[in-house]
Amino acid sequence: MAWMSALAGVEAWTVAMILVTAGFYGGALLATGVVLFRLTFPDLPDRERRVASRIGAIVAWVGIALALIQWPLQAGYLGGGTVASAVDPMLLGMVFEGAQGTRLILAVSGLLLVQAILLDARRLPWLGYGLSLAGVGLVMLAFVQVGHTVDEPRLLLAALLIVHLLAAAFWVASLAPLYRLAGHPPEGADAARILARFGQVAVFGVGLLVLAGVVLAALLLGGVTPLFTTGYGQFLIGKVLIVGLLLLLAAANKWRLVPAFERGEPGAPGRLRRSIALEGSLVASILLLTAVLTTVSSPAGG
Amino acid sequence: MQTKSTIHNTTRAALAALLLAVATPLLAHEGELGSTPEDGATVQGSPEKIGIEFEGAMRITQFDVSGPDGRVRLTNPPGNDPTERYFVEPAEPLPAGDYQVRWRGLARDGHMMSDGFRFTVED
Repeated sequence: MAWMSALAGVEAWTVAMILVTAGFYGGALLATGVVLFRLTFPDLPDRERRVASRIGAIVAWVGIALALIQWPLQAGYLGGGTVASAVDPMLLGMVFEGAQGTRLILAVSGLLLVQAILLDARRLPWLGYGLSLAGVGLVMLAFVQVGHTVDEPRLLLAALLIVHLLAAAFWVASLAPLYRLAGHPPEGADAARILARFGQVAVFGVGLLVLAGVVLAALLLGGVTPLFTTGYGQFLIGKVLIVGLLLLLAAANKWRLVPAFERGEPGAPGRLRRSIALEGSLVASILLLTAVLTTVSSPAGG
Repeated sequence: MQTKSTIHNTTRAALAALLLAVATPLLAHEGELGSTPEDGATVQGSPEKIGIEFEGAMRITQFDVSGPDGRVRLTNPPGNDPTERYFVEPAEPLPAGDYQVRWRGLARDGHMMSDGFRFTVED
């Protein structure tokens, strides 16, 4: 296969950095999104609530592991993409002393705290949510330590990115519970009611996600031309196209598939689940593209 | 199953194409002000200094010059403290030929960066 032999010439280190970064984005967004989803839907059926929290805790650990793997990967990259430089104390120290180190500390402590969502909310109603929300805050702060959101106007750029990420996290984390709920018959466990209400909340969330993303891109790129002339801009166009597809699916869910599910139409649960699963795969490709965008390109340099 | 296999292969090929397209060196974030010699320049005789300048402070972690005789031995490397100017000197005069410089560094905003430039030495 030509593509396989061509792939052999690619610098594996950069590819590894991209894949680990995408995985970290996924883990961190899912883990923080579960907290937001649980807060938005406190009336989730018991079983679904427990499953969502457990998923949140597992992906939080995945996020922690990937954040820790990023550290030697970055050191190794700086030393020329070798294993020896990945364990070089000087390079590891240099990465840790800088913005990446701050990001690592914030991300790991945030993802540890997020797991307080597992605490029994009935016995400790505020402790679990309080700690896990603090964790969400730390993870969001981690995301604004590195990259162009540290430029001026820093507060505005950081706030826009955090709004964008919170909305994305909520959306990403909603897919698994909604997929499970769509498997329930409409008369059971208030599945239809929760699915319909998600549609209402999502309109607001998606609006915030798109608005914050567009303003952030406009501020970082400084115009329309770089969108077409720089690598960063072109990656961004790719990301926007996939988000567009995702929005089409979300609209189809809200206006066609969920109403059909509510009416108890035969085949509706299956169609809805397939649509949500497709959303999940589109989200995965967006995360990969975002990792590419943030790893190998820059709004300033191309 | 033929269709499923085709879809699977297409997905893998698309992913490979994406990774190939992006597996180029990271681009400068701090903004490169220029290099010495300039990228693509032809210089008469061996340059005394080879280096690069940035708009903001950069911690250079790797700076390799390679030419017709392989890797060039360099003297006076400035270390990897944050700097806006990074210059080295060839240990011996460079013979005529094409040279390539590749560098990596850590930008102030935490990004790993990599780039390079080429120049030609004429007698």
